Amino acid sequence: MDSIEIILKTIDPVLIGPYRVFENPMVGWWVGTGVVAFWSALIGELTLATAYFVNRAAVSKNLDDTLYYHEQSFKAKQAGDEKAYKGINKLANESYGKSFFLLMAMGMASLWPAFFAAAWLDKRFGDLEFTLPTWIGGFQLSFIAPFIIYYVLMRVAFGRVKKLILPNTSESKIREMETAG
Amino acid sequence: MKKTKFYLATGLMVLLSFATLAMAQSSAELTSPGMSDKMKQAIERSLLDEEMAAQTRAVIPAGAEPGFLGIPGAPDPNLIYGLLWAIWVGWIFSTVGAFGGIMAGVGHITIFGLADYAKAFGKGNPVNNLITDSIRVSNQWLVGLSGVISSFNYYRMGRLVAPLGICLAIGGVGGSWLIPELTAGKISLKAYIGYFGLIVFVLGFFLVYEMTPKGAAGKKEAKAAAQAFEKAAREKSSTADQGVKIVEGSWTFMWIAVVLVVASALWINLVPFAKWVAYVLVLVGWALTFMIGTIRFTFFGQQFQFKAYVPMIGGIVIAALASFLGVGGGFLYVPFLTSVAGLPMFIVAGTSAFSVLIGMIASIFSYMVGKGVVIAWGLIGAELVGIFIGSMIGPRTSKYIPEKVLKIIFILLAFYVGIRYTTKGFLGYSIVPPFG
Repeated sequence: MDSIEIILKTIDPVLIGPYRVFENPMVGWWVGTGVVAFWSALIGELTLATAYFVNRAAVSKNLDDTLYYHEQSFKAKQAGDEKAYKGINKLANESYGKSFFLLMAMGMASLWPAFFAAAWLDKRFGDLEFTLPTWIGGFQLSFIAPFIIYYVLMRVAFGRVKKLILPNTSESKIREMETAG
Repeated sequence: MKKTKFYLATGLMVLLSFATLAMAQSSAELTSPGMSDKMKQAIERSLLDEEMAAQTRAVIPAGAEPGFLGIPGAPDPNLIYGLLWAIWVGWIFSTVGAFGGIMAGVGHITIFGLADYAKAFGKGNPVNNLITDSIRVSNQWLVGLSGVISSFNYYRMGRLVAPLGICLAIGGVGGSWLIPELTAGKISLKAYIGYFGLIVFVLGFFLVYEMTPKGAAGKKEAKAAAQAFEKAAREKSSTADQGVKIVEGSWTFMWIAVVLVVASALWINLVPFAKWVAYVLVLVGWALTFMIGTIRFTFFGQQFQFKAYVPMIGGIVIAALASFLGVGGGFLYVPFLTSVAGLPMFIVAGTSAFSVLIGMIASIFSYMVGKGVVIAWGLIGAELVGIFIGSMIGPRTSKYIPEKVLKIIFILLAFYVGIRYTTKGFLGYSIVPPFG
């Protein structure tokens, strides 16, 4: 049996529950998918928080180097030394590249639950099609479009709540450094 | 969603299955219940041609356990393999950066055994083409996601030069739909591997150049210059001046051009007739960009400028390449914006991320909505878990491995992968081990 299938079968009873709360299948689908998006966003946020906490020293070091070269490149530009500006700017880019890809890998990793959710939704509702009203073309969309919208809204909401109740996390400190340029 | 629609679709599917069963006798044995409609259709289409049908029947053992994308007997990209490979990809991302995207592609092509499997169906076989497209889109989901994560942040930080991003997007959106339109379902895995190898090869040469005395001298000089400027005081501009401020630029032509290229992308994907309209729209959009002229902006109090058509042309080329190879394109945007457009680092990072995002949306939309490509969601999920683990390990190991050693490792890897894929793709066999 497909190894991913085993995981999907294991999480199935938990995820399908909310779909059965309402008798109307349409309402059930929207509520259930909303709950799936909620779980995906929550587990994703926890993954991201762990990543920032574990990697805080490495990211800060990379950003320090970046800010140093950024500062020097602008001094060169101000002095009218285009050659020095270009050279230092390249160094700034290189050192920023390091923190960029590290941060990107961490951010991407936070999306893993969403992909498992999409795999599960595909298994359960892969054949569903949403037909848009004719005035916007009457096109058909799969289950993935509503899920993405739900997921993005959840991540935005989590971001706001996080800022309010946890203002001093490793993540917020690193973000502050990033904006310091 | 209407329940009747669901029943209708299921009914139609059952009917189609019966009809095909009657036509091709054994096609039902070659499909599996968990398989997507698109894959079923591809298998059924391959059975219509005698030669292809023989190939398909030879590769798909009737009634075997379903593997990748639900195809009976297909390699099952093992979760553990996927995870281990992704840890390696995550490690590369967190130590040397962009090369991680290439490695993600190598995983999808070689490590999971999908390439040889797809190739076994033979050139022109719809099953081969669907698997190839699936690999391309899987790569894009994985790598292109970086754009989504970073763009919003950069925008908030005032590090996105909107007109620059828009001009790149005018080129990029067109490039992103043109490639799936011209190549989806037509590029076999063999050709795809060949081109992929060539790009890796070129990347390898860049890495070598950076290590040559000439490449290293440039870096040394820049480091010395940075040190020299350490003592100089920079006139601190007010915080209000630190973000991007547009000084000059024609927005009218820019917006018309954007509307035209977006309309072209929507037309080609959603309107089933008169494809020429999309081609006209995109060409007019591109032509209009030449009328935008020069765009000037300030960032941290310093002035920068660029001609609008330069990023537009860069956008076309980079998005076309990225879309064709199934990568994000960040590794091409950064040198383009730094070396060709001479833009400062924070702007380059922000604008590249934004361009990757736009290109990714356009390209994934074209493959998945326009061409109905199917992807293995669960596999990508497992890979992301691996990337998470890898990105935790990377910063810890880089303390013990000097950067020079890392670079040499990647040069060797780039040449090995490059030679292997190029020869495998274009000659049909690899000239480096494992041969064949």
